[in-house]
Amino acid sequence: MFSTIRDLIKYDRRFTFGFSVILIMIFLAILSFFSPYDPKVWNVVPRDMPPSIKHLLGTTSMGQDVFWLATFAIRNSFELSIIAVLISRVIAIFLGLITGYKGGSLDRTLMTINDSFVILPLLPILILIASVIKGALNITNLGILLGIFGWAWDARVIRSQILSLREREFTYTAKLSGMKTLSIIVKEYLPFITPLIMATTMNNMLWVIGMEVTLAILGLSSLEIPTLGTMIHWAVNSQSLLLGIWWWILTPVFICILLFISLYMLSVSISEFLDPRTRLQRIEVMKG
Amino acid sequence: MSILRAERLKAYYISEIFGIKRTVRAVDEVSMDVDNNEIFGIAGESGCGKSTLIKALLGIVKPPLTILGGEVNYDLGDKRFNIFSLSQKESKNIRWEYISYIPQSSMSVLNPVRRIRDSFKSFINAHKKMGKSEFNSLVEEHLNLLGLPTEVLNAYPHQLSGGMRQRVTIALATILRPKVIFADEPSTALDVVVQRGVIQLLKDIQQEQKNTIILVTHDMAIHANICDRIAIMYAGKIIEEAKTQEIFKHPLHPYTKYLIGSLPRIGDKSYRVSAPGSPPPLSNLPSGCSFHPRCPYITERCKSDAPSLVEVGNNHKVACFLASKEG
Amino acid sequence: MLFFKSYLLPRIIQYLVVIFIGTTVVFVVPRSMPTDPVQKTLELVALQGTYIDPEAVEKLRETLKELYGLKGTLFEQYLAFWKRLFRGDFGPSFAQFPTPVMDLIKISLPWTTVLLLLTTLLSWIIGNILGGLAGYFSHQRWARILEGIAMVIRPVPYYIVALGLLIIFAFAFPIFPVGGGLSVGREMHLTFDLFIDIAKHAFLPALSLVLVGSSVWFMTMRLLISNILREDYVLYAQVGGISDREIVFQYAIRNALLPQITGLALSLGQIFSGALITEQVFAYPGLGTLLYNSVSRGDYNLLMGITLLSIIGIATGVLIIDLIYPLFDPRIRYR
Repeated sequence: MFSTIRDLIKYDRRFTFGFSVILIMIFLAILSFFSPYDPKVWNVVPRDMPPSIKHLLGTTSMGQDVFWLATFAIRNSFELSIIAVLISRVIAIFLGLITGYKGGSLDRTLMTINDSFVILPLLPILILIASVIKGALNITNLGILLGIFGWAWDARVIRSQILSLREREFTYTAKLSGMKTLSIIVKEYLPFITPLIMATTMNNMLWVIGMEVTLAILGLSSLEIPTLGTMIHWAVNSQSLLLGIWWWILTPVFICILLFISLYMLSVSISEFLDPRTRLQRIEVMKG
Repeated sequence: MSILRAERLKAYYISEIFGIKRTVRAVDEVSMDVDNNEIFGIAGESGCGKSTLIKALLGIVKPPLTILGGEVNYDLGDKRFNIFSLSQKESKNIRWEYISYIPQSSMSVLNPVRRIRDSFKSFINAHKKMGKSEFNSLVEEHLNLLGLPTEVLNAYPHQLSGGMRQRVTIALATILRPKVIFADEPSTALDVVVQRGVIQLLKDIQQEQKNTIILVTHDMAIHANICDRIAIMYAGKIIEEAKTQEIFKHPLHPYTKYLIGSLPRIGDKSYRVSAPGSPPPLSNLPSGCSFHPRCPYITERCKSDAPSLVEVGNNHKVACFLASKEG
Repeated sequence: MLFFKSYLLPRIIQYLVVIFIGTTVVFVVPRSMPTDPVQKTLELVALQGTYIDPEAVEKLRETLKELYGLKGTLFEQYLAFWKRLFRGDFGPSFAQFPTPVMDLIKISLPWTTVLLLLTTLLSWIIGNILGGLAGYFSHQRWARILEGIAMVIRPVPYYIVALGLLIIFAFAFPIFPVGGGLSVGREMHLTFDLFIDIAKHAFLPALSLVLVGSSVWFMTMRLLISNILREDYVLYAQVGGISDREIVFQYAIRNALLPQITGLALSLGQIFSGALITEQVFAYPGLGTLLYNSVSRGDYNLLMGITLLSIIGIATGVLIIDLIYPLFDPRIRYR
């Protein structure tokens, strides 16, 4: 796997970009453990100060250091997405494997339910749920919530991959030699779909963080917990733009944009890497 | 009269992906001569380079396929050219009217979302502008000639059976009466009954239009059926070439001998033997004569030198030191 | 026609299942929350200081229960919920009591519908055509530049794109109005001026949606096209000397449209969500702003109403697209 990453870094600029940005983000997230300020406390530093040596990215109207706040925001957003992604992966893989392998009426029933979750407009529903359990939406709960709703699309993707694998020769060989279904799935299929899961994970993370931002801006998540979304929420609510405190709102926005673009690039480059046809295309580009 | 002449054609697939270079020597110094008004067959196993040869002869060369040398000269009466010297536009104009192609996977060469009639229109209009009535009469006449019902025109490809699609594709490829038709495994994916129909169709077209068909297939029975001359291809090279009867009665190259010998004959119940081993990968060919690892008559020279295609009389060419009695 | 049944029937079933699941979720969620809305409202009333005797409080409680749909057992509530849904009765708005939720929605709905329809169609068409061309001529410089742009815009959330446009074109260079649907105080007479006014206000939200939408369709189309270019019928058409223009449009794009139509159906929910968010940024008087207001004012009925309506609307939109699909794919139409 490391050789894959190394190859991707060398030959696909998008992957390089995405990968390095993510590394930087992870570094910043780890940095949050060393923050001199407690993110939940207000007025620890002078307010509305522009960026300076002391406060690298300035301070907020509530007396918090923007830089250190941002490190927490990144860390929390990562935590959140990891929880949500884990849950949705488990559900998506489970569903995709079963429906793809078993087929028949089980497949049709489960897929109809699955597709309902793809079609349903999740935003209003999530807003509804969030407004009902307003106070209790801390990182963990939000993660669980988003995880419960984010599996539908990827379950489909995994299912179609399993469907094509099922028809391949090695499945028949394994079946005929008496391998049990579970064994086949774990030993033969999992290596195939692991890279696919990696690509869809990036996409899912995108969605999760995006949803968090949206919900937070609407004021629906726990607003004392610093995340990218809550930072924007407070910045917007305190009229930071009109008051000219641009560093407060631009920091989370900029981080968001960077994060999203790099996650997207990672997912695109990984899935192109996996698709044998696009690989062929790249051979041609190199030659011609 | 030679209508197509290839001289020392070299076409390789060269690719470099993630730092690994790979060269597939699909067509390795191939020279051949095809006359007008004949059916010329190219025989060989899968992976010997036949399809690539066709592409090169047609001038359809897209990376990673690269032409490394040689010429392919056409003499079509009023037009004479080396196909590699034509510009994109010129070579596009040549197609269909002069040189045509029946591809290997005729199942899927028709646009799935358009009717057959519209596909015909596309191909014809790309080369000859004609009015509606002219178009209709041309297409209907042609279909009639080939024994295809004209209702086909209103259908979508998925509504036709495999055999029917194949025949429609043949009709499509021959509608402008090209002088040279390349057919790449035109009947391989079909059942025997339909196969016969398709092959017969090709034969009829050739008889009627008096043009040249270059037929590529691994099925020797088809070669025996309609080809005038046959060239045997192995590992990117032509190793034997002669009239059909000659090849079947007096195969000279050890590989050809195996090939002919493995064909079942009615009444002959003796044990069939095929060549031991398998063809070498085109990316990693043996030194000298590419057949030497499998050849029962191997000499020292075979391991180091590659034999060239020489004529041994009666228009019979072979590339083998033993058969050509060289050295 | 029999084959139509094999195509149509599963989709109608899907339609019903979506609405069923969506409605049930909307029903179940609030009833599983720990707080009791009736109690909360009663407390709010009590806070206002007036004295109400216990009998009146009981009556109030009953009325409120009915209002919130909390009367009877869970099952009875569920049935009553569906009954009201069929009547189109979402109850009264809490923040703007006693205006029925449906009336409020009716005012906002046309704004959203027009915006959504126009921008979705536009971005689908633009994205697909540009993506198709860029996919076919993928080695050319302009194609790669376009792809780079799309790749950067696509992952950015609607909110941020909208915010960005707002900052640039309404604050920094005040060309367009900062928000709303109409200039303040303008009346709804059918004049040309009115259209111009609406268009000016709708421009930035529309631009925001079209930008993101087009890049999404661009990226998927481009990928589809580059796969289709390997298909036998495209290669054959190229051998046959058919012009690039004809191949791009008649062969490549026409075939790629099929999965794109399906993709449109599947992403309708997300596009809708994006539209709602964008509306909020610009205070555009559609469902998005209504939604935002309902959240900030705790107008619970309105929130539910919008959610339910969205579910039904999106599901219907998907069904309509499913019905249109056979027009494009002859493989479904015939046999």
